[in-house]
Amino acid sequence: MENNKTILYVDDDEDDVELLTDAIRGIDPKVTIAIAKNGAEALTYLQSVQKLPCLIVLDLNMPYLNGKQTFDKIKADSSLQHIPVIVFSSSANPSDKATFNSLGIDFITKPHNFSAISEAAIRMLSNC
Amino acid sequence: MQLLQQFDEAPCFYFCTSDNGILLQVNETLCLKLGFSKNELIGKKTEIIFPVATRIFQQTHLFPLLKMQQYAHEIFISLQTKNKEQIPVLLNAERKIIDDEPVNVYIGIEVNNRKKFEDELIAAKKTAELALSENTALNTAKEQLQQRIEQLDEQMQLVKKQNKELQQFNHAISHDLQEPLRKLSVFSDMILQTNNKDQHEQNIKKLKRVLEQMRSVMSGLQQYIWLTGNLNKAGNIDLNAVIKQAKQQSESGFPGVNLSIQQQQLPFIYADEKQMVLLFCHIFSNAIRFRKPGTNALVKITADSIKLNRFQNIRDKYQYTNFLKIAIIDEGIGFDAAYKEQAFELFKRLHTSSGRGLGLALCKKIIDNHYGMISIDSIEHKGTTVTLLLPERAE
Repeated sequence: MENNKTILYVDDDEDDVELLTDAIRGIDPKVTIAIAKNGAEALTYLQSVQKLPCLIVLDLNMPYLNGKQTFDKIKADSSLQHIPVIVFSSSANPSDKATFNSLGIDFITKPHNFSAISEAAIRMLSNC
Repeated sequence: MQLLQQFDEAPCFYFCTSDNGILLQVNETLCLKLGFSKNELIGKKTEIIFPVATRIFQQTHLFPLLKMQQYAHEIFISLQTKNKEQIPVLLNAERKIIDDEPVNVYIGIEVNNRKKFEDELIAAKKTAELALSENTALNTAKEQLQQRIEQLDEQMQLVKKQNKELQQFNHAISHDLQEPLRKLSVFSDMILQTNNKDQHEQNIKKLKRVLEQMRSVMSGLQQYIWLTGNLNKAGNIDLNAVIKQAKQQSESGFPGVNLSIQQQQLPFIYADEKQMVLLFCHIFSNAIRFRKPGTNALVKITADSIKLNRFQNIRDKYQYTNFLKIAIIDEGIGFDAAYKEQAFELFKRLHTSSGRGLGLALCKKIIDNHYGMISIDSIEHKGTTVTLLLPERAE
């Protein structure tokens, strides 16, 4: 794996941020994880950072810009649209999953057990 | 008496009578029309050619008029034929003295067409009157329809509002209650898998925090349902007392914090006291929760009476009434005003740090219950202003 990789993780849930960050670092300690608490913060980060992340992990339920709105803004920006996006959400709404799958976007449901979090982290890193 | 032949056959009816109603002369045209011969008429009483109605009219109106002014013009009567058919006739009559005797001379023309025109006119008038009354009925129906449209508009607004609330409620159930459940599951997994004592304690702390979140979501939903199903127990209440109670309640949620309130003397309002206390309590709690780090919590409260259109849902309808405008101003950390509309949604948090995103949704519910309006404005790092508009209504 290439060094100095950065993943942008956009989620307002501090517990999930801690769990997923720990899981990713447990697999690849060299990965940098940038955290944004909502879509607006994520876009500010993306517009100001020199080296773009290799992956954006998006939660859907967030204040200000939610995940779908953030996704739309990223895909509408020619300098950002190439960055792979994975949706990481607890949304139980089947249409959410169908919407993103139809766009070729991986949709990972937030796990209900600890071991599945590591599996999710591996799936994310394989896209990076 | 012999009549001139031209007059005998002239295209008009001619007859004359004595004062005691004996026919003295008739012309041929009249005889022909009525089906009598001259001999059958002359020397007979006028009853022979006058139907009952004409007889009465003759005795009560025509004859007295003739005697009084010696003439009567354009008199409309009926004559009757030998077969008792009636013929409408327009008469001119004059009273003359011939051989020292008064003689009443009548000239008439048949007016069948005029009668027909009159009948048509009467029929047309009746039709017009009917149309007019139907038009009045139509206008009444239109007005009623307009009222129904207005009612429908209000109902639609209500349904829309309730639908939106229901969606938010569904979201709350599916997301805001599922989330803590999922975390409980993850953290209990972690507790089972770790042998490290410190880790163990940390995980149990997390578990307890999530349980607390869940309890707070549940009690929030309970309050929301209570406010939805609860009709106002409204009365005239002292806003100053409401503020005092709300201050105590909000401070009790933040041990060691003292909320300073700068306010003018506030009026009495017609409202539900419990709901009003809850409303101010949530606004004060936000002011405390989102105060600038290291500063004391402070709010300023202003109140003005303003005039506003009480129709909020129907376009082009105006009735200006008095509203009490209350502004609650804090100097806290504020938020990006671009997202202020989201602030009133159930479980919508504009700050990730704390709060359950419920307070302002409840505030909106309370204000809706009182037919008022609530808005929020904020400048990041400067502070937030919550504005309430409550109709000033008497009991």
